[in-house]
Amino acid sequence: MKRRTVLKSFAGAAALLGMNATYLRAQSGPIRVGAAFALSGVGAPVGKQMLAGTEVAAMQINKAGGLLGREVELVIRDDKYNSSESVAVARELAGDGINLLLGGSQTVTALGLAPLAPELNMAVIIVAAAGMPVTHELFNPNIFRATANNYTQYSSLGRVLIEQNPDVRTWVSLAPDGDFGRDSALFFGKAVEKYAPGEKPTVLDTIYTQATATDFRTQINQLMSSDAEGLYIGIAASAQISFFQQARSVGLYDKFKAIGEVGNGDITGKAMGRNTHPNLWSVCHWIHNAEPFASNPVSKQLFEDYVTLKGDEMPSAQVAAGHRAAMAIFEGIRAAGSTETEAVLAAIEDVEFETVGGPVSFRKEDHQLVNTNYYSQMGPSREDPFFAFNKVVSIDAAEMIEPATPGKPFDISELPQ
Amino acid sequence: MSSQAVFVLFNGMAQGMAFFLVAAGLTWVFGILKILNLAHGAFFMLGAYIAYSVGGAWPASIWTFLAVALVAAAAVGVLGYLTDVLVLRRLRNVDYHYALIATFGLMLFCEGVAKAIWGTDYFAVMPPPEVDRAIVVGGSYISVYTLFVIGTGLALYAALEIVMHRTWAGKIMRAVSNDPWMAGTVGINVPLVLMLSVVASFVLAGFAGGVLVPNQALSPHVGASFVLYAFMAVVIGGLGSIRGTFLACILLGIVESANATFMAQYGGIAIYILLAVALVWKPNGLFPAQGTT
Amino acid sequence: MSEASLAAAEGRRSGTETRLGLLCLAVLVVLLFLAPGLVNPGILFVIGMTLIQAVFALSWNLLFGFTGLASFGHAGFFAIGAYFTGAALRYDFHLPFLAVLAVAGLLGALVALAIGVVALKRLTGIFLAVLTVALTEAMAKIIGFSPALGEQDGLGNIPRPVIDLGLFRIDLTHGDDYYRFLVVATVLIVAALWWVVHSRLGRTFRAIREDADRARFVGIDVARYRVISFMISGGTAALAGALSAPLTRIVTLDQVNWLASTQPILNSLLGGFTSFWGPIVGSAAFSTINYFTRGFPGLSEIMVGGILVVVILVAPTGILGLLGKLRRRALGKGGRK
Repeated sequence: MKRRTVLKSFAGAAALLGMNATYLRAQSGPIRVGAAFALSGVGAPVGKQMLAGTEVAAMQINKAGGLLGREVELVIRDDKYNSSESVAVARELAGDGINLLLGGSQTVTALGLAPLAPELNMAVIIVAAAGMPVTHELFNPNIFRATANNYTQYSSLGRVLIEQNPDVRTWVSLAPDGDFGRDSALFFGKAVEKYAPGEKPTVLDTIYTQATATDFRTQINQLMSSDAEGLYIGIAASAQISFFQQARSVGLYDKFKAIGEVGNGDITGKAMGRNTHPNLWSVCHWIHNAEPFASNPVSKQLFEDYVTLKGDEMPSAQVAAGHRAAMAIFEGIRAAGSTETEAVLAAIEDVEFETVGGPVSFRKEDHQLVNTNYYSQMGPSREDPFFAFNKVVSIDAAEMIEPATPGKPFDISELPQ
Repeated sequence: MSSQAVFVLFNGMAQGMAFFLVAAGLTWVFGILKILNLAHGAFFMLGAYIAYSVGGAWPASIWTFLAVALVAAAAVGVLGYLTDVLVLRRLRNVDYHYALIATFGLMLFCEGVAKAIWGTDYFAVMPPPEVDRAIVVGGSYISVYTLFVIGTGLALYAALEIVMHRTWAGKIMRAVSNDPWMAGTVGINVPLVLMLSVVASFVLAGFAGGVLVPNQALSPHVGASFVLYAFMAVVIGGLGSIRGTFLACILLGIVESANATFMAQYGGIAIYILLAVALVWKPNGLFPAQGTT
Repeated sequence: MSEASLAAAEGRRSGTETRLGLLCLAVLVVLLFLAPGLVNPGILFVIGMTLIQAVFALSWNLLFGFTGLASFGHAGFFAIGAYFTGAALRYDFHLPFLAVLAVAGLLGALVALAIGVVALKRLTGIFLAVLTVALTEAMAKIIGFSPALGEQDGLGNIPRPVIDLGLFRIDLTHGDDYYRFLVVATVLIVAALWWVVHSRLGRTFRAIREDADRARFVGIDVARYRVISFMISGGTAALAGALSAPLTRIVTLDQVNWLASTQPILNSLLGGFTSFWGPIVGSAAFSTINYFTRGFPGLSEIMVGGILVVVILVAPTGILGLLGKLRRRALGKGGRK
């Protein structure tokens, strides 16, 4: 009996202490915002850059006097590019009294995070996960997606490729087997057919591989034996670089006049250097020294502050994605005049804010970002770093976005062709 | 045979020889120490990074390329000596499970160290100019670098067979492998032989890193992608048997290549079926070496 | 390595010590049960995952520490349970939750039986290690090709169950309630395993581990008992996976790879594989280290790898082995022979 009493009072005291601390912190002191990115594992190269953008955003806000008269403090966690870890991290942060979270730097982690937000009463900004379910069957009012979704992104990429290379008449895709690979190749191919000036081009059957493969010689041989001159590559990260290494040495660069890739951008450029394909188009979030970014004040400031913070003169495009997501939540807090979940969620629905790529807002029905998407063209260069971005093209997401159907799975066959 | 089948065989051979370059050191050290070094792939990865750091992304000629691979081999050999003194030597006379788990820990440790030194950015090393072009054979596009990898693999196999079966050093190695106690009583310095075997195995890992670095993007995970195939080859071939491992590598390469060509939607699964069948059918491998049962 | 003498020393523990141990256990279980009121939900989740990891590690160690077989693909069994339970809840199989758990465990045991019958008679040691790795990798590939199991993205949005016992219903949809259920389930599983290890069956396992040839000589059907041990181990691992699915509410391929298979190995060795309680101690220790280093991302590989190597070289019997040694030294009984 005695032991139980002791335990009970101990429990009570602990709960009281914990609550008091959380309560006090929530009312004064800094505004604490969780930031869960992939900082180890295969997602780390991208996750670390996004985190850098988020850190710059927090620094800028604090320099300008903070929000609601309080400082912003980031509570940084590693989601290890792993959905169960992202769940663990979100619960831990929620337990620590944090109700505003930046997370989901990739689709795997976003899928774990999204259904959790209402249960934890958190406002979650999905930083960069482009999988369709996030704003469709997994939609809930607590999440906002601060990036274009796969449909908008890869339809736009296909449109850019065919509009910029109208003489390429036959196209093919190389994609990883799985939801993302199949979808992105499908969206790309449909857009190539739809937006082709003049006669409808031929889109061949997609060639499949694995997202983590290291040997692409079989697929490269199939590509070389096909009639295609235009290519979409749905594999990312190190696998894409392996593909280019192996493809270049059998002459794929001569055969394919135009290549669109999934979004490695400067990651591929830095690795391939002077062996970059001469007409390689990428999904592009930001290139600080190329127009239209170079003359954008948000972009200029982001670059300056990034250099100050990291001492690196070559920010990756992903920095802007982390910055944009952070600005969404900061602007939401500012507009709400509060850090309460409900108020911030309501405010984000209405805010419009400036990013490196112009003003953006969220669609009310499904909390999908509506922005301008950019596509860059790069090729080899004589000067260090031996690759250069030559051109940036933009497409307004409003032209390419699917109708909002929150709660329902996205199905491309239901769209008007 | 159709041109597709020819390509499958050729590409299978190319992959198989890449596996063999990695697996050779693994099977070598197993034959003598009876330790399956799970960290082998990690040291292969370190060899590739060292080759990149020394030789850069654009090797000037095939000779500098090979020289750089030898530097990487030597550097990893030194790491091998340190690993032997600090870790492997203490595991000689204990249950092999300890060695498996300790070398697994070593593998994680090496990957972490590589990330700390070289960061998580990817690098791409190009093949030397002499082999950096393609030829077309029967409608298939084949890179000359791939032929170079096949040639290196065959040469390495021949060299290992000669060393093992035709030289004095090989006889001593085999004597130690078969019965260390007996070898000791006839005056062989067994600890020295064991240490040299470990160093040789690491040298092979480093060399493979240097030769294969243009094959794919360089990242801290590059070892893991190869080493699983190498383990399978070593197990299918018969632990410790160079010939068995060599043949198993070719078999794995061809099965993997055929899988990618004819069943692309289910890529990468056939080799696991092959392994399971091989293990159940020939539990001790195609060429069980003496004393490994 | 004289694990045998250590195990024997443990067996000779005096009565007062046993009573003290039981008391500690009881306090621990009560504390675990009261944890939702004591700690914040984040730490509660970590404790829940630790319980699951502890069961998972126990299942591995039954095979390794008590039968002398090492599986390097144990995550495969865990995933069988996790994916089955995830699918059963998500697609509503019209099975009571307790039956789902039972089927999950049974599935794990059946797969272990199949592998055991085909492979265990012929394969031990390194061959078994590589086979288990390969089978787990193959399973990951197959799941990756199955749209119903979420392919590369995993099976998400898994609802928490309601247990209907006819007379009354236990609603586990709230996190704290599921956690309490998890504590009860863990205690029951641990008790069952403790009973297995200390029964005749457990003694037979240990006889095989210490010397398979001698065991065969005294008339033990070694292959048969190895298969039985493999089945219990596989079934328990699947049960651990089954319990994890409603807690995390998502099951992914990250739980079916090589690295996931090493978690129970790491936990068992860290805690001490010669003791029944070692894997539990190891799981708790590992979670604690993980929790306090969560602010230093990227360190994990160097740290985990370093711990493994150091543990093997310096303290092959883990934390409990080390504590035992220290205690014996303190009591002045001298070291081991």
